[in-house]
Amino acid sequence: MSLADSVIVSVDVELAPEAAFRVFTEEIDSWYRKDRHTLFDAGRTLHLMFEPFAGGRLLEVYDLSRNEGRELARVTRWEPGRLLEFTDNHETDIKVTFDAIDTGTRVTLVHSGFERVAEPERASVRRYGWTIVVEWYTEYVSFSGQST
Amino acid sequence: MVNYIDETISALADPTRRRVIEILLTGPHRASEIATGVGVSRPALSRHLRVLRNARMVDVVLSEDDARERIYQLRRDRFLALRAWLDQVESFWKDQLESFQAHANRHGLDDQE
Repeated sequence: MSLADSVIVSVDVELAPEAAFRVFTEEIDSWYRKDRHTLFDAGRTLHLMFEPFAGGRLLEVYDLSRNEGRELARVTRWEPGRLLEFTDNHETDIKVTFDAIDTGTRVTLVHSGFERVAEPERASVRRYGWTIVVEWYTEYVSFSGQST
Repeated sequence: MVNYIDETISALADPTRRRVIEILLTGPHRASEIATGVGVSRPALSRHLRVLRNARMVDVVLSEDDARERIYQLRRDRFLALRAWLDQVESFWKDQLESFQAHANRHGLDDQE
């Protein structure tokens, strides 16, 4: 068996890369499926938005007058028409690239950073990777402790 | 039960054993291959493999070519939780990107004009 160290998903859209990036970011509230599995607090979330710059937040907005709420992720790279990167609350990395193709744009999302199983050097720098795996492992073992 | 979890965590806490796991994540390997990959002596590796076996994270299988040779592999069940989690992440993003795609193709052309 093998374990992938990242998840890759892509879709093609009938838009130029610049427009695809704009729809992805500015209109995230219109397309992101919002429910109790995809948000921290679906009941309070009025709106979902990116602060449009590196260092900006992806926010669940609870207070429209101040555009404040809970941070879902932090933008690490903001390159309109090309690349969007953000780091979620588990410190895993999401990278979205926008590549021109004949019919529009191929949007590719790579989610990585959750499988640093055996990288002690890295674990010391980014401790969470290993910690997360150990947590899953612990949960799993708790559930399956009766098996042999 | 508690002891079993402790055993698992402590088995994984050692950097050399994590390297062994990393190698075994790519498939079953001979002890000699693991020793080379990890960069430890065979006796040292044997101690680590024993800990992993006692923690029921690693199994020994016999080589098809050479019945005397020991091949080590991860116990699949121990890592299925991780695999299942990755599958969930993938299906989450697939859902989201398909929704993005539908929205972009439906409304996005207005933006472009």
